[in-house]
Amino acid sequence: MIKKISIKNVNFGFNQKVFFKNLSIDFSTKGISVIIGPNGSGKSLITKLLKGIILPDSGEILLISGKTKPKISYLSQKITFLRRDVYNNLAYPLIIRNYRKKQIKQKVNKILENFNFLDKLNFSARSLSKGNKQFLAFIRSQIIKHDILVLDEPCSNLDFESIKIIEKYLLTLKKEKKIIMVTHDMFQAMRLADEIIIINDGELIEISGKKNILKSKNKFTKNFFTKHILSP
Amino acid sequence: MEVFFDSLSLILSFDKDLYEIIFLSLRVSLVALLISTIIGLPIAGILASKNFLGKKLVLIFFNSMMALPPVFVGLVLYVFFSQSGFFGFMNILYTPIIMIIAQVIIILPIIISVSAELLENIFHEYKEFFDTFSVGTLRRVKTTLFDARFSLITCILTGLGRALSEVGAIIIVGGNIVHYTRVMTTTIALETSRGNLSLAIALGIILIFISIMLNYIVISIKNISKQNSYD
Repeated sequence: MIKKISIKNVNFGFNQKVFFKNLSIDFSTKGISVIIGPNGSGKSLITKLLKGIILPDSGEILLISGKTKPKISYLSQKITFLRRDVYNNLAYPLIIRNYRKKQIKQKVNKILENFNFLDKLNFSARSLSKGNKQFLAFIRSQIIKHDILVLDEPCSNLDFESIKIIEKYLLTLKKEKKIIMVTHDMFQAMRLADEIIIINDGELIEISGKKNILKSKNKFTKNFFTKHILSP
Repeated sequence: MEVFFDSLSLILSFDKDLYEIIFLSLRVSLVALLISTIIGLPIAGILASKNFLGKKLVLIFFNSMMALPPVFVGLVLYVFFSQSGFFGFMNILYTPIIMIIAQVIIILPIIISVSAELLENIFHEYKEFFDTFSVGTLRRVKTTLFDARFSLITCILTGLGRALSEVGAIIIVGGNIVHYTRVMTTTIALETSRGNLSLAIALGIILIFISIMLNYIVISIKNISKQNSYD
């Protein structure tokens, strides 16, 4: 049971550029939180801060559950596969956690079957198409299901069918796991989000439920949605 | 032309002395290569995967050592291992052991520098993946080494080529003693100065043959890696 997911007074910068100045975000502890905002607004950096890939210069990332700190399954926007086949790319996170061979085989086969990807078991992961690579990266992020799932643009480069599969999966998964995701697709945000977080230029503009976001009086939010949804 | 036929005759008649020299050369170079690989690859792996104070200096040091003149290596070893030297008590001067040490000093920087650069590229590519799955340092090095294995073999074979063709250091520390420390390159140098060209040319032909074989192996490995590296 997640009790708190929060970014508190975070300052972060590199190469003499300040990205976040006293940024604070309280994420809801249930359902799907979708982070949206223009390019370069700091959405991906927020996911990296949450995962711990980058550390804030000051401030805190608070992840609190019952007794232990909740763990995060993470899907990066930058997709990297080992120079191995699909099976071994999925098996790797299990191997490093000392799963037994039999368990690994079962888990990998099961997840590939669930996502209808089993026919690509022996393909080189690095020579798959862009869309298949993105889909495989999503599958790999699910091979070990931690308490929180952080996804950075999980559906970029995917075809409509694959997007449907992932969205259906996330809507089922949100009943048991907390999901935080970044997307550029406003329609997807509206389909999936329980909570929408709008970021611009490293600042939190607004957090709102999806029902209320379109009625927002915030000038930036209104302009952003007008630009991306109301005028195609 | 007659000299050339004499050389071929030496090779094809499996001349005992000739093959003794060839096998000693291969033994010394292969042992040196094995030691350099065992020491060099983990060092290259750590240099590629870790950022630490002075890393640039270490890399500059190994890069500079690649251009180290073998004669100088031989001279330094001679000073240290001669009877009056610091390690003189070991009594290994003019033995195959010190020839191996000399070759290790010559090829280790090559293996470290070339491998570190190769591994750093792969490691840089894998970094976010490793962070995502919280992979430990040792596992990161092992994974990077494994995925770079085909390219690393090419680096290692470059080291072998350098070891086999080396003459300056081993002639000083080995002493070119017949039936004991005489290897292909030192024999070529000696026999040419003596005017015994047939043996020198025979060894030259063998060296060229080995060089061609090494290149053939490198090309074959590249072809195999294209099929099996999943790159």
